[in-house]
Amino acid sequence: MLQQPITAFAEGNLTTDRPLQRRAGLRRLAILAEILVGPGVLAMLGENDGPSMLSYATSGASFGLGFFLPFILLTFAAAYVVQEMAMRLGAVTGRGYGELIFQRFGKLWGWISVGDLVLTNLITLITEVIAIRIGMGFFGVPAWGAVLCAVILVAAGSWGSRYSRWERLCAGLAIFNATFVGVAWFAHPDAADVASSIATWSPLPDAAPSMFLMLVVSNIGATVTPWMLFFQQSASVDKGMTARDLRRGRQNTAAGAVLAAITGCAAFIAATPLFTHHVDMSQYLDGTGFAEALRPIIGVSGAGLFALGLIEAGAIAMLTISASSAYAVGEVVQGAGCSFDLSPKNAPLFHGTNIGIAILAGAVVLLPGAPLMAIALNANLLATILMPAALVFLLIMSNDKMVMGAYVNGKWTNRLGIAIAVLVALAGSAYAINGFLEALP
Amino acid sequence: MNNRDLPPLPPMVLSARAQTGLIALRVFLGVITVMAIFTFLHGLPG
Repeated sequence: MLQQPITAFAEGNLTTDRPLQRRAGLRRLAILAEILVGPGVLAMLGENDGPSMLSYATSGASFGLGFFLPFILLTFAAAYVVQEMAMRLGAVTGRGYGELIFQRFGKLWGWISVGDLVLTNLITLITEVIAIRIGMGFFGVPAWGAVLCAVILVAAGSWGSRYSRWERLCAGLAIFNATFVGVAWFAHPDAADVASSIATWSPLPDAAPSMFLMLVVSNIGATVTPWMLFFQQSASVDKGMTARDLRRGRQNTAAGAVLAAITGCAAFIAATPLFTHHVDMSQYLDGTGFAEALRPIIGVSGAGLFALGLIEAGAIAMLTISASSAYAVGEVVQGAGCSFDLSPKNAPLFHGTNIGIAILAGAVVLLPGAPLMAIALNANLLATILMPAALVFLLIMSNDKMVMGAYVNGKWTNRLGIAIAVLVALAGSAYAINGFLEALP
Repeated sequence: MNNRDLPPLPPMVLSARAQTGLIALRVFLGVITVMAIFTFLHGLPG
């Protein structure tokens, strides 16, 4: 009896307090936007780049559903652990990754870290331009046109002198990472098989150790890489995050990991029909690749979506990886401005590095006879091999009481961080040593 | 706005063991990187 008037009162409130309700709705929308637009989501979706998507797709095309699907999910869980540390370091110390290493460990370690980063970033950027070139090639765009688009995009990011503007440009592009979910839909995967492979990690791949190791290392490098640490820590500082924003930063990083895991797994699933139809991928290595190979199986629409997805994956990574190089160089050169909030006139080194490294990567892709596919397949491997050093510094710094105070790593974060560093080091070393021994005459 | 104008932090004092560990890790990773580059170059066509 009592509930009737209360409900009626509540309903009355709903109809008469519409502005209040609208305001609450807008606030919820703003919170959601804050969670979905931020360095964590950009780092994770930025790492779902050209070589990463090609790596997931190669795993799906080579072995079908099975071990690699849950393995990819596990790498995203690992990515959350390390990226959360990077975000926390940036928010609490107000300093970027390169800047902290220079100040706490000295110039030698600082330059070694920045050197590693710039080397892996340049090689990765080359692969991003390759991905854009392959994707645009599907629609008939010539190589020079694809390279020009890639460089213009990075230059557009520098134009405007506002971090928030650059972040919105990246977030707008990142939405199209979801095109891979569309391609997976066209591939008509069996839901029961997908669930079974995630639950049982089987069937195990029937492959030579070198091939298996290459895909394990390549999939790790597709998710956990040095540039992401530099980028998320520096972008968190550039965004103006402080210790008060840690909760939102964690939500943003977790949202990025979940979204990137969904689209990464979608790229894997999208390519599994190539395994079930026994398609020999070697004939597509120098052409338009997966999109071309998938066309007769999933149709022109699905193949076109895959090509569009590759363009997007390359494009967002061009922005974020160029930015991570610019942050690193800008942070270590004293007096050089280091922010998207500064104009190119006030931070010439920062913006020059941002655009210059993109131009350099584009120029390599246009070199006649450059081994583009070999570079694309090896980019993730190099990132995995160099990652342990970056992880060790990350662990030391996030346990540094002098700069982190009460925000140092917890016991479980340290255990997980150490386990990730050891596993990444073991996988990278096993691949490199095995490959070296096989290559010896 | 970001807070880039913070004063520099003092260098961290690392024990001799920690220094040696870091150098050993870096040398090891350097060797592994050279091996991977060798394998990459060896696998190039032609």
